[in-house]
Amino acid sequence: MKNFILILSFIFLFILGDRIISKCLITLSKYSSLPYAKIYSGRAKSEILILGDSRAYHHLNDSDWASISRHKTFSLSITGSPMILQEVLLRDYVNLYGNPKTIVIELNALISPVDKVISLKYLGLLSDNFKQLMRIYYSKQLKICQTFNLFFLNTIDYLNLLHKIAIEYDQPKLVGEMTDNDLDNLINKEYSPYFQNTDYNVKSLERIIRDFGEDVKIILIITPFQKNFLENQFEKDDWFNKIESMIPKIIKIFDYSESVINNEYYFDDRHLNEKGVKKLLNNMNKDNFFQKLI
Amino acid sequence: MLFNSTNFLIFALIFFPIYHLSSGRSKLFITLISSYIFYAFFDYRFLLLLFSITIINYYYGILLINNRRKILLIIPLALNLIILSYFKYFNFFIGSFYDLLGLFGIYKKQYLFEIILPVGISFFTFQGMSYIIDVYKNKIQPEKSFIKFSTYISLFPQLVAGPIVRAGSLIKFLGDKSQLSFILFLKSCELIIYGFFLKICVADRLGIFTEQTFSNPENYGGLIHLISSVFFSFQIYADFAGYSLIAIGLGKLMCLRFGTNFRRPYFAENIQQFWRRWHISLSSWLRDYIYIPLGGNKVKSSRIYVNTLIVMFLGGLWHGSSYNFIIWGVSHGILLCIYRFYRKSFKDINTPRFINILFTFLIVNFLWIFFRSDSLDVSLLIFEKIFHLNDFFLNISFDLFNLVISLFMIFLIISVDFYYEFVVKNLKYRVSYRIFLGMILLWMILFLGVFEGTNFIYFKF
Repeated sequence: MKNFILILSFIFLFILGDRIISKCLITLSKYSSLPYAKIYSGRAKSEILILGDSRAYHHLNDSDWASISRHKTFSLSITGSPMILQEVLLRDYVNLYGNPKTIVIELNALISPVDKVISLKYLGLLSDNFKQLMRIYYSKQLKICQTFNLFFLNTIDYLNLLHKIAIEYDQPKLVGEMTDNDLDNLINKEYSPYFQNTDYNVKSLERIIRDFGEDVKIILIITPFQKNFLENQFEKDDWFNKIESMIPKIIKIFDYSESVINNEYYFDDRHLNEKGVKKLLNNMNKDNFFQKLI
Repeated sequence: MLFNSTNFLIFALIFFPIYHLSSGRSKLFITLISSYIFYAFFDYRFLLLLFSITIINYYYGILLINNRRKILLIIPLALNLIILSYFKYFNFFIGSFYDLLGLFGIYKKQYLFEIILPVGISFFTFQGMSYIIDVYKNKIQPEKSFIKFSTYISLFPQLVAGPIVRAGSLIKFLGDKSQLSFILFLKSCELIIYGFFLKICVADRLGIFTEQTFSNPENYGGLIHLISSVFFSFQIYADFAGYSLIAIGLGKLMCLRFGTNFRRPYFAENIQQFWRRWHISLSSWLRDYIYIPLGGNKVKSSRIYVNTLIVMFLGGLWHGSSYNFIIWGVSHGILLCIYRFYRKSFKDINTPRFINILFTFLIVNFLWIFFRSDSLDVSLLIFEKIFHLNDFFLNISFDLFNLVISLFMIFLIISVDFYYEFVVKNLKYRVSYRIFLGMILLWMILFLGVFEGTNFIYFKF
């Protein structure tokens, strides 16, 4: 009986320790300079929100936008993020800060798969919306995480969050350009369709438009692709038309997909380099894009 | 069924209560059936093979009761070796033969068989062979109970990757009336938890790095390969020692003793000591069943060197059918010979212990490159990169967080080994202290473990 009580105490202490340690560790996110950690610690209030995956993350730099538009801008974009994850972050943002004035959505997130969710699973300790997302796509993982909270924190992204407590976050810029070899590989690459939306992302975009469209200005944007890449992807126009047909007419899509031509501006077939991002900003400025933001 | 899988967790939660509630023959029967179920999860087709090995060794063991003719030893040994050779070495020998013919321009195309390697075959055939030899030499009595013998051959904790347990130290305890005490239960859990920590937190973490570099050696320079080789040294140690600890812990939970398989090998002061600390169940098997029958240390010096090379050649080949393993084994053999010669010739030279440990580690570390590489070409490329200073600093890019955690894990296992090697010899078992350490390890597994369900490296042997 004594041993049985000892084992029970051990299990109790283990679970208690698990809860206390994970609580302490997640509290540290308050001090991280990582953008999506800022959302949950009251440091992300802004007028313009940028949503998207790596293309938004690299092409639509919030500090550049803020200095040009003179409106506080915050990017929720995450490399590899699907729209559905962006929706979760947006809803958490709105719960904490209220509606922004404008939401800018880079549409590539419609194509991104849901895989990224699991690497951000620590958000499950901060957000019920995120837990709900895990419940749908990673229910087994969620159950383990709920049993042992420390497992929520078992991701490299959480360690990155810790790292950005000690070191100020500086959005990495893509440096370098595509080589002749990269171009040859791209031209000779076997065709595989790129512009294919996933259902859950499309539904997520529809929900964002439905729930926020009336009170918030929503702008959709497609940032540049390398021209050889686009030439191979002949279904891009269909993709564009499909999106256009599902959104209300009041919402405009800014298509900059072919606005930057030269290869010197590309890091790879889908990402502009640092020089390319400046070129894109210039092009957007010429179109008075920033005047139309709010 | 991997130890680090949900299936095994369910299996263990069902097996252990039933095991401890049963007794005598039913206990044996449950263990046997469970072991076969455990093995079937890897590949049910090889259950027949496992059964055949059991039958062969059991049958000849029984025959040896009244008849000590040498042929009754040779036949079962040959059958074990034929089965092992067919599954493990057949294609290698055929391929090598073709290569040889190719040197003379006779054949070009190679016709090889598609043979799947049964998991754990090297371990259970070696257990079978040691049993037959021990019976023949009258070291143990043949086991008459077929269920007991089958359980010995197929016992699930050590079935697929050892330790190779001798019949004499195990069979008599199978199905006995030992009761699991609370302290034994805690000690078992402690071994299992530390084993899982070594596998999930250390080996699999280091594996992320080594997998990249060994798969694409041409992309990296010497420095990265050097770091990677050190990482692999700790990866394989954590992987295999981790597996062994889990197996030993599971054995303890069944009130069985498997013996130690690793004794802080990277604190060995010379290559001979290393082999007394690394994969002890295999090295002692090779010593007792090959080295000593070849004459051991009782023959003249030149013969000892030859015997050492033969044993280490076979030890290398045991690990797998490739030139890399042979080179790895023979290199260790040569080093053992050099060490023997050195020790005889320079008795009075004493170097600091720390230098000896570091030197031994570096040698062992470099030889692991042969062990880990997919081919001889890859090994040579890595060596070229390490020792070719022009490329030394090429592509120094790595995932910072994985690197930091990996270094932290290496520091931890060195610290634990250092503590047991130098600080404490006979630790008093304090329950609360041990439970607290166990909890810390479990929290670390949850927080820093790699949960990809990767295989243990030694499963492929």
